[in-house]
Amino acid sequence: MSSIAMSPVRPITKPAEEEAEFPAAQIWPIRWSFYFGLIALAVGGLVGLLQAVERIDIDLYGAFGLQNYYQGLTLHGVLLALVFTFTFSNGFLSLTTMRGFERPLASTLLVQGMFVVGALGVLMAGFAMLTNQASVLYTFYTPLQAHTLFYLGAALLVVSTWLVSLNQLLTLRAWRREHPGERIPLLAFASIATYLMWDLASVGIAVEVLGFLTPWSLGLLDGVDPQLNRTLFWFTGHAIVYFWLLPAYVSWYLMVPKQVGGRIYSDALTRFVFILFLLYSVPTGLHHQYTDPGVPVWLKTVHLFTTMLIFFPSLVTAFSIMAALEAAGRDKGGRGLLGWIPKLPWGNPSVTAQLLAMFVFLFGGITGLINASYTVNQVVHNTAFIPGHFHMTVGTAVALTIMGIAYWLVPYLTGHALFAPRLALLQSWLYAVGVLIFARGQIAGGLAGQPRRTAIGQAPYELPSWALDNWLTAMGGVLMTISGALFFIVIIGTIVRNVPARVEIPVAEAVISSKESWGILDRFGIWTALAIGLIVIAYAPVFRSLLPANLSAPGWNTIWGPPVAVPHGQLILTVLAVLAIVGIFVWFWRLLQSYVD
Amino acid sequence: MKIHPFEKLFVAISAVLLGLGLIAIGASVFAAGIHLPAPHGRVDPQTLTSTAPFDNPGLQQTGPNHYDAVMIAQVWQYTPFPPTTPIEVPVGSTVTFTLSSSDVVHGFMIQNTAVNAMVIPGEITQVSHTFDRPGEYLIICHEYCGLGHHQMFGKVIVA
Repeated sequence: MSSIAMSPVRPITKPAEEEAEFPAAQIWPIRWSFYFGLIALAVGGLVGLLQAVERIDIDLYGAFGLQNYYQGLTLHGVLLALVFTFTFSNGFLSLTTMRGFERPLASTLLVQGMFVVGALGVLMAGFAMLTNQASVLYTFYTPLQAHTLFYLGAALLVVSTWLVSLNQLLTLRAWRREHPGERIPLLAFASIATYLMWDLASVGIAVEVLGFLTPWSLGLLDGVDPQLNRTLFWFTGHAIVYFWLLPAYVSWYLMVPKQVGGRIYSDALTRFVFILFLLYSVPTGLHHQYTDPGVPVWLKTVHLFTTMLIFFPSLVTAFSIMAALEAAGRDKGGRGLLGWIPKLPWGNPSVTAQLLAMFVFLFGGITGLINASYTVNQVVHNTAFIPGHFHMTVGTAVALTIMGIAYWLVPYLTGHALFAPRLALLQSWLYAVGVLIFARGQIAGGLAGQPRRTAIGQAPYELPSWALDNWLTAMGGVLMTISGALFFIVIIGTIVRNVPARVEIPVAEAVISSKESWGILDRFGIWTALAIGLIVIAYAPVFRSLLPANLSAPGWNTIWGPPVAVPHGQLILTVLAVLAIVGIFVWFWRLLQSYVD
Repeated sequence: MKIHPFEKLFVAISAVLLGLGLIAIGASVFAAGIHLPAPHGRVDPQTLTSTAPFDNPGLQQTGPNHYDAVMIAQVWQYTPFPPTTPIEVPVGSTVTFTLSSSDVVHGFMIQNTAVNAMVIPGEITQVSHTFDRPGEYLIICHEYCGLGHHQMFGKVIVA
């Protein structure tokens, strides 16, 4: 089998190019967006521990000042799945766009606005959640009705992602003027494609939040149509998975190969994979609604088939990245079928974290196939199997990859050497082991009929046969929390301890370069138009069957308990609102001015 | 355009895997006759208790071995079948469950069966199951519906 060795890969002997310095006015919003995400990770992760040990009847909610399991679950989901991921992507893919084009972003105000608008949104939604006025979980299914601040906060967070996309496109335009006829650098291409996909995907949630939920929570609408709202949510809700995942793919395709001393396999295939995600991510959402009563079955079947298509680019990715890793390992003298694996730089925590994230993702992907399969879904839908699955995808493939990226990104952003790299290595292993134990508990529990999103420890129907699964879930959760604590020791140590180090953004070259791939792959306009066409085909009949809307469901806004009284709550809200309005006004004024000048 | 032979190979393998997956699922959908919940009409959740059939919820025998169970999912029980009042049917019965919600979204899952559906205000959910084995089956609400969500359950007793 040693003939698999990929001969074209040679060590890169050419000296590292001097990297362009990016303007500080654009770097600080990127750095703070990332730090903001890390704070969300810390808080959201800690709440996760409370959920895990609730399963073995340890109730710590009161000790942490939370009202109940579901307020915690809302914080956990929103802070980790929405805030942590979005703020990371906003910062990271803005940076990779700059690095890809080797020029600053077109608009400094847009990148600063990205941070300010996103942070403001998080503060608003955070206030609503912490005061128990929005315990609606991160899916906010109506007619659960959150405080208006929660919906506006979510909307601002989405607006922050649009600002990133707009800035990328303006930068692309500027770069094209400076480099007529050149191919878009692969790193910039992948970063832009990710956000284009998300622009299309986020239309569903934007219509839901701005068109229905916000006016309804303000009393301007008497009722909503829960089935229509769910469908709008899942229009965005499956593609959001790829918005979480693609920044990790950017690292796996374009950075990890460099970090292991190799190269990306093929430029064309990488572009092709990102285009397939742009095309297929959105028209698949109904596979989250197989058990919904109001959606015609033939449409569910159509989305079943489109969902299977989206596995294709992920399968290709598995092969592609494995090829790049294998080639690098063989280059370092790895022999035999698997001999290249120990030759990879396992001493580098950034690499180890991401390799382990990829390994866990194999199980995440396989369980995802099970969920999407129409028939088997009947067994696992809304059981603990589902969180078992997605803690191996977004909870590891994405989260552990982001931690791995942090191990070079924080040194890059601060100019400080990584603190305690051996602790960082331990952190990665502990996380991977922890999540596998956790997922084993959740998956087995789900197959034994344990519902998800449920305070199982307090459920009167709790079955003795779930005991082992609950203990595994709790143990895994504890290990993941300890790993998280180690991560923050490393990151805070790196920020605080000033040991100067010059760290560069790792960017890999392709064995088969862009000169040998089709130019049409770079035509974002064509691919976006095609993607819109596919979305219309997949979703027009769905909305046609749901309209006119049945706006008959009134809101339920204390069903999770009464709001927490905050001393000076009105004052805090007023100050927040004034700050928000002034801030957005000043920012918008400067933006207008910059175009007038 | 240069494509490496390995690349061609793994794109082909991925395509074949995908094709096999589609065939397998297609076969299970069309041949095994799995039925997913389908639209059964809309209602107004605010007047649900005066709308047929929800104005008279309960269990009714509709034929030999056939039963209709009409239930309202509401915080935090399946009316009129709280855990203390199980649905009781003989072995071999086919029960058609008809549900809607008078408040928020609820779930309807019967343990050890393929019954798994959402109950959404404004929509009517209908699912059927034939109980071939005797025993006690847990009905569990598997969608978050507020503070008492984990207390929302019921039972089917097949004797």
